Amino acid sequence: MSFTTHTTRSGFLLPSIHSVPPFFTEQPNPTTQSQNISQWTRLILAYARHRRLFVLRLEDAETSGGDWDEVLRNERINRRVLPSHLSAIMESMITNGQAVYEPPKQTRAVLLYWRLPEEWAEVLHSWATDTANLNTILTFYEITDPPVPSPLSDIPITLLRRVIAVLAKTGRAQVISTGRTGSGEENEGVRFFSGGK
Amino acid sequence: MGAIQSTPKVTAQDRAILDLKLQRDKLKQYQKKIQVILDREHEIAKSHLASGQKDRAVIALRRRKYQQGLLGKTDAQLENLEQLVSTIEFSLVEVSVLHGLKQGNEVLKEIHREMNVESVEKLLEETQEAREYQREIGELLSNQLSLDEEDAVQAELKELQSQAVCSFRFTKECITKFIPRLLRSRAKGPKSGSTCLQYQSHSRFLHCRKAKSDTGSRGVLLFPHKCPYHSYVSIELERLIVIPYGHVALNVCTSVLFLK
Repeated sequence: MSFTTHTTRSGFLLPSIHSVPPFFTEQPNPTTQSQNISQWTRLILAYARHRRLFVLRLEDAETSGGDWDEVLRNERINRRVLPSHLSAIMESMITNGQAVYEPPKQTRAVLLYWRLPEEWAEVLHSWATDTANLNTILTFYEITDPPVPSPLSDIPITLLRRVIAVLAKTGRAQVISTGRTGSGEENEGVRFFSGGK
Repeated sequence: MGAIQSTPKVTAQDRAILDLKLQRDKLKQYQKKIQVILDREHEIAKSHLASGQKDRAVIALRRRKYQQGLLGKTDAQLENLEQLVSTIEFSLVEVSVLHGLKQGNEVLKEIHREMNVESVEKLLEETQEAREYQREIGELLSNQLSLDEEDAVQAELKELQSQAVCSFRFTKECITKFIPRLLRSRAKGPKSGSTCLQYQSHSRFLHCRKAKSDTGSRGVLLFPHKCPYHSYVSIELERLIVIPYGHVALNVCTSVLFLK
């Protein structure tokens, strides 16, 4: 059988290696295994960027019907990624800083960094500049769910917080809380400044 | 974060605005929830109808109607809130405009304090005086000068006049008047005047012709450029030199020594 690229229903172009059966199995040889994991990492991040997916769970490998079926399964060659394999991939991504466990202190779900928080910070700041939202107070909800879709639509709040922290370090953002009890999403907002750039 | 000097302090105003916006967001989320309920009730009504339970479908639709009413109410509330938010933001803009105006006014006052009308008048007066003084000095000096040098000027004038008697430059009119007469007097050739003067010699001038004026004076025409006779009259007028016959003065090409 020939190994060819394949375009999924969501318009994502799977690389030819995705139709190679051994690609879906953990490799006993450490060199081959690391090679395999780096290929998977690249594929997963590319797909996440394509579909704007932020979270990858072990559950996605265990059951079908999730967002990740197109990548984690290949029905044309009757293969799928086993949870243990996916777990190894996740671990490697976390050591490489391409993902973090979300929520922390568990190993079943990761938040994918197909853009690093530093890169997201630039995206967020340029969005705020373009929509003339500098120096005004914004709620997190306004950023994650704007009336006009933006590059930041549906970004997880935890990631957004991290991104704002990056901006705050360079004095380009400021977190404001209403001062009421508790400091959750319910009580906080952010203000952006034009900054030195 | 407070250490960074560029971030302004969070004021109570900011907190109030944030609170309002959060309320607004909550309302929006609530609306979304109601929308979900609306859709769900619609589905329920449909499925009941399909299974023939008409009364249950009616109940579902009633609930749906109620939720729809809620949605309308929240819409009105949302409008209120958003109006309030935009009013506050606009007021903030107005405040900053006012602040800017105030500052500008103060700066203007400061400048005016330094530059009152009296001092300006005084300054102008002083300038005027200085100018008059300068003019007086100038007059004095010029008077003196003219007195002193009047004689010298007169002398220079006389010298120039005497030079002009024996030497003057050919002007255009001189040539146009003189050349045709010259040609007529020496006409020998069979045809036009342009060829009647005979070529005499080839000195260091490029072109040299013997000529005699109608008053009988003989001379040599010297042309700095070798050119057809008829064209020098129009083109080379100003460089045409006439000197007395026999006087081949090579360095007098810009002056006429004799012509009558």
